[in-house]
Amino acid sequence: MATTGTSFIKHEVAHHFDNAEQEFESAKLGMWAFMAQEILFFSALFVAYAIFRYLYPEAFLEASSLLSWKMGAFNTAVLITSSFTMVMAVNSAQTSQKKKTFNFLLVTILLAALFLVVKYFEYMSKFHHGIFPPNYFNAMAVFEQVPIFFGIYFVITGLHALHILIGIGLIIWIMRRTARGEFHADYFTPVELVGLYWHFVDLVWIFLFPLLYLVG
Amino acid sequence: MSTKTIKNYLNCETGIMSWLTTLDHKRIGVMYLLFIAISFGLGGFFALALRMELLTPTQLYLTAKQYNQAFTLHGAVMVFLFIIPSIPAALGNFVLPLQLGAKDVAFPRLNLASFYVYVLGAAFAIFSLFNGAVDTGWTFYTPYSTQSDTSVISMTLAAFILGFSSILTGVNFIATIHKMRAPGMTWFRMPLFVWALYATAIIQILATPVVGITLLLLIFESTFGVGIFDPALGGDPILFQHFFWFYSHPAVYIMVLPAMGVMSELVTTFCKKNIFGYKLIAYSSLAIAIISFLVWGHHLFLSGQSSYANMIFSLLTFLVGIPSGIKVFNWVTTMYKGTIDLKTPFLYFLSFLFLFCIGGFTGMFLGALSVDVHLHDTYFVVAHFHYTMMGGVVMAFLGGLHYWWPKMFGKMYSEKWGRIAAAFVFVGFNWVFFTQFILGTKGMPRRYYNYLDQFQPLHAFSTMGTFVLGTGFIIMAVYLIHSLFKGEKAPANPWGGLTLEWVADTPPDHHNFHETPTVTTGPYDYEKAGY
Amino acid sequence: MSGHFIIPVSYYVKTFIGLLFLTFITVLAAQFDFGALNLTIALLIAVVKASLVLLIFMGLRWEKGFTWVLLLGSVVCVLIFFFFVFADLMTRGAIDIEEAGFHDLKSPVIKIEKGHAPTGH
Ligand SMILES: [Cu+2]
Repeated sequence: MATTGTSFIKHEVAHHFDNAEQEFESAKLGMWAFMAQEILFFSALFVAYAIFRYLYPEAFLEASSLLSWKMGAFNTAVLITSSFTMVMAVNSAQTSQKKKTFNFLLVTILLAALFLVVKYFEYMSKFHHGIFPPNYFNAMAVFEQVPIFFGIYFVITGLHALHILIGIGLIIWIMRRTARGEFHADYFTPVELVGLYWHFVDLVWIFLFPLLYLVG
Repeated sequence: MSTKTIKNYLNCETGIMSWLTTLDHKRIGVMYLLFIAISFGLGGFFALALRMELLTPTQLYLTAKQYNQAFTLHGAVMVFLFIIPSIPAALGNFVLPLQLGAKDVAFPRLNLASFYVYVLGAAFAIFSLFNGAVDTGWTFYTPYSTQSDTSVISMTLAAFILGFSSILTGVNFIATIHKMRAPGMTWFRMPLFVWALYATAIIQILATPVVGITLLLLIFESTFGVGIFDPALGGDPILFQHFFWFYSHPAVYIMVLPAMGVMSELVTTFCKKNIFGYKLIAYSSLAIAIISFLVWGHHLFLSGQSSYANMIFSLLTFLVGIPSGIKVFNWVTTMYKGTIDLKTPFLYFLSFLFLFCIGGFTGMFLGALSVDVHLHDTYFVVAHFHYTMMGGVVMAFLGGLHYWWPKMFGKMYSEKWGRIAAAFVFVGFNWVFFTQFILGTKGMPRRYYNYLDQFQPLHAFSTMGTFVLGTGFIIMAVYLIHSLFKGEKAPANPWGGLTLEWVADTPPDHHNFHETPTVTTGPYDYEKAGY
Repeated sequence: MSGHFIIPVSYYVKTFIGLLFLTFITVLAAQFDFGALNLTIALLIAVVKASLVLLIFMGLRWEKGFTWVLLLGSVVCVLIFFFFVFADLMTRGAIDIEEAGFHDLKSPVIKIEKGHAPTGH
């Protein structure tokens, strides 16, 4: 259907697959397996967080109050919106709407960039007050375990930001392929997979926001 | 045969670039095999260096620091560069798609990528070797690892990267096993090696990322500080051990499960009998994979872990014996009244059966809380895990290597020398490591540089065994390499195996099968095949 | 690929609005002090949000069995991880207190006290 249009490139099924269905399902299964490993990758950080919050509740309360929950909430909204534009991009690719796919991806990237900019200012304001990872920590704190909170904070948000950067790279890659007309109703696997990855990044942040910013 | 040679995966393209950029799972498997063999040689070299130093109670030729570096490198190279990728990445890559009747793994490009990730990790490991080595032991326990002046960072980074290679292989295998099976190959018609690789892939995906993040945290801890492992900041060094062993105990099964899969293949082929209890063996692989996540605390019995946690972990550790026992009994029962053919691969099968049982039972000793107080961190532990890792995994790896060698390279090795080498390896191995059980029960602690005079006779005896063991491996290297050039041409099915890889040409065609095979029976139906 | 089920856009829009609303609720709830329930409430909302993303945005609702197995398997692994580490942490040294004087144990293990570093500086 869609592939008959001149602006689309027909997809060739890789030689070792029997048909496009098998190719698509394999790719999707592989991506979900990768998501499972991502969950475990972040799990150790959450376990560490839980342990030290259990051991040092007052220190965590104090440390968390040094973060700006407004920035955190804003960034949460930004990421959720970007997740929405991402599913819309996938949906547009599935329905062979090239222009729309491209634009939704573009908005997703802009939102991702906005997230990083806010994050940058957040980090800078922390550094400005001497809040660094433990070895360089030189801010005033009532409880002596406050640096542990920030140790965890910087690692976990840093790795999350790294995931966002990788996501931006991936989205640029599928944007270029979208522009070439490679994605349409008969083939949209990469868009869908990048979408899965992007939602995972959102998923992590959904937990990070209340745990880091709203210790009450 | 007199006309032109038939095209196969080895000669369909030539030149070094055709290898480095290949997407063919068979070629990637062969490249892995080469790197793994080199790593094994390197790890073996360090082992020899260690055993030589231990000939005398005081310094012989290594300084204390060099000794610490030697045992760390021996452990790290053997674990991360050799054993973990040995069976899944080398043999599994070659055999898995063939056994499934598929043209390739699900993601050939990812497969090549994971090979290069492995090479990158290996490069970091080699770099750290020349950059001051590492002296923390392969477990990198904090707080020492954050303070050691050796190149801990590049070695942990190497392990981190190698972990990702392992994860990507797992992802690939899961998708392959789910989606690439030949028509008619239902779940219970899959060869048991495939089942084993499947269980392994699950552990690779669910456990390896945790060690990845743990080692990353260690790197951060020693660069700018995280605090969670640092008691001075209120952190807990035992937490590192929890994190580390959450992966590293299941990792033991990343190594052993594929070995058990090879065992099931060997026993049916060389007994010409259907496997006894197919479903139980398949399910026990999954059971081992699941239980492996519940027992890591047995490494922390004497680290300051709570006594209640100790009790739970000890109990759960004993549970692993059940699925392992199921497998052993089923293999033995398969042999009963079989037409046993004592070819080289089967000799390794028997070695595994014998040695792995000893390794497994001594593991039960160590899992018992009170006994562990006496045996913890002694040579008993060293002997125990060498019996499982080398007596188990390496024996199965060698069995699998000899079993699939003709298929991989189309050449037969010398059966006579194969048996001689197997005898050397078996005798040498027991010589080295059984001695260490005795050393351990007598109280010789592991990782000690100097030791009491009373241990010298046993230490010297153990070191003598390494030469027998080493001779076995040298003989093996010689006849295997010799077979590549001068070996007899191998028939398509030299052992009479029934799984699909034996249907393919020897060596297989670039696309594995000329036409997609259809499966109508279980993998080991020797009764139907006329035996 | 043709005949592949396409999830209606209306699902996405509703989920999106729901997620934004729940974020608002999270922030709102944090303004009140429910005592020990604070964390539970915050986590509960986060779990609902995460489920929405998983089920609708990631399409888990329409996925076949094995994807669920993978996902639930990984969640179970995380729970195991939590459970056992806490099993150790919360009972560390407990047996020594219980058995003190019983077997005349003189334990070298000192329990980490809540809110205090185990060793002073
Ligand atoms: Cu273990």
